Amino acid sequence: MAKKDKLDLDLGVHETLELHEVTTLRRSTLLKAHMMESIVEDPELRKLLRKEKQVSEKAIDEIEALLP
Amino acid sequence: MEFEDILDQAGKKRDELIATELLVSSKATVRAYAVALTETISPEVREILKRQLSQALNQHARIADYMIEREMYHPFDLEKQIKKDKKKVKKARKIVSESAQPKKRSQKGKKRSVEDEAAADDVVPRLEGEASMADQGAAHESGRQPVESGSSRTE
Repeated sequence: MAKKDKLDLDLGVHETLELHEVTTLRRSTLLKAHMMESIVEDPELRKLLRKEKQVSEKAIDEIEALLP
Repeated sequence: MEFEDILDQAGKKRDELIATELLVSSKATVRAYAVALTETISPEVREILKRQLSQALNQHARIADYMIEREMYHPFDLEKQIKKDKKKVKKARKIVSESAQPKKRSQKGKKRSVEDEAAADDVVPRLEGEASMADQGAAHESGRQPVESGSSRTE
């Protein structure tokens, strides 16, 4: 928590906005991947979707920890 | 439900659609990170974004490789790719018009039927009025002199 607060103080306005932008995009990608996973046929493509979901979720968590 | 039916009809093409969607998303993600990085001040944030950008690039590479492997994407054959893209645009238009038309048609149909009914309602009284007028005229004609009935007709 203390680390989080400290990072918050370092964030610039434009920086914060861009981080928001990134999380928004990743969230929509994550949801799309999640929805598409239920209709995909090829197992290899499903693996790619799962990977996308994993990476997106982790990335969103990391950025969210930086944001106020 | 309609959308799902269309997707089922598309069959194998569905996976291609999904892969294309993933590819486009991954491109957008990479761009978002690049833009965000140019606005970064904090070194901690920069490190995280750099790492995530690299992950996003890897993800894009995986999807592009997959698509090239499955011949969904032809980066070395522009003509083929353009031909395919045109076909897809055509197909997308067709899907949209096919799934949109029934609704529109039913709505239009309803509207039309309502309009028709209204028109019919309008027409019927008119006809009735004309008929009654004609009857009246006939009554006038029968009851009165022909000259008067002629003047009433011109009115």
